[in-house]
Amino acid sequence: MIKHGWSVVTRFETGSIFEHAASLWHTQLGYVDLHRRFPGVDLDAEAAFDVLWSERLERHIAHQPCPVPSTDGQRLILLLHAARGGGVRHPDAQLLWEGASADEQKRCRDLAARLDADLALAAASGRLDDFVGHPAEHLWRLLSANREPSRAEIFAARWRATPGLRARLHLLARVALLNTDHLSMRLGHAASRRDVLTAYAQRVPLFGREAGKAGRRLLARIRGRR
Amino acid sequence: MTYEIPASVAWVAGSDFIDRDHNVYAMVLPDGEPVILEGTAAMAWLVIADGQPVVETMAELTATPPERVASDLSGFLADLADRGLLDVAEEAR
Repeated sequence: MIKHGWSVVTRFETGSIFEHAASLWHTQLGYVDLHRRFPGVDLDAEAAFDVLWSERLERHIAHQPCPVPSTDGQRLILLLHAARGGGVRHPDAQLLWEGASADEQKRCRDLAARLDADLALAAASGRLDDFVGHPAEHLWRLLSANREPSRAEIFAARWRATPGLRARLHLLARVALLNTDHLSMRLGHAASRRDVLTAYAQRVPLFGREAGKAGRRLLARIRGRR
Repeated sequence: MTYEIPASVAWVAGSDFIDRDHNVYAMVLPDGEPVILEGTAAMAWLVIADGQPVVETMAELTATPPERVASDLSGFLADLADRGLLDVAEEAR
């Protein structure tokens, strides 16, 4: 894509908490989000792609033949997207889940099961209570809630949802590092070393505040167990 | 002359998406420069896309003599062909 005039605005690693998509920009065509996986799909990304690819349809977009997911696949992807943007209240969830027939809902649930995406689909369809105790239940509850969660809340939920020491260390490193891509977008130009240092300096009190809150909650929980 | 839109051209009619957008947006894939066709240029494009003879049909649609339409359109059609947005063929006799 870079060869064809696209430039990277945010990298996979810095695009979102899921590190799932990179944003690219073309001076005449605008933005595109390039996905390497889809949040909510827990099956290995290549295996998940193969499932969707094996059921693909062909649609003409701008008079060009384009492979697209099956109708069930499209429904599921839009629902998984809605799951992290308001859940059942999201207009897509209203239309594509509430407005779907029992048969369409069943086919969507079946596909979600094959993609290991049952939990995120439950967040979009108001069935998260079926997943109480799942390590990522709290994360999806937060993402599908009708409010903007704080960074500390997201971090705590991601920590709980992340299995294994290696993955948790990766998570810690990501949280500690400043997202220079987002900083550049906010500034409207490539962030200089000075911009990065200033942003770090501004961030320390914020982290301090959030870490303080998390620490107090942890302390209260430990005391509660005694 | 007959005109055809090559398979390598991606294009959309604005009215397919927005009621009052009568423009046509076209580009040669993958790296052509996108162009916006307005008014009679957009109309001529849609006539070609529909497989109709462009001069005769535009003459009929605009109630203008075919010779005048042919003269008005010739530069525009040649420009589109130069940009790779149209294939041109001599009419079989």
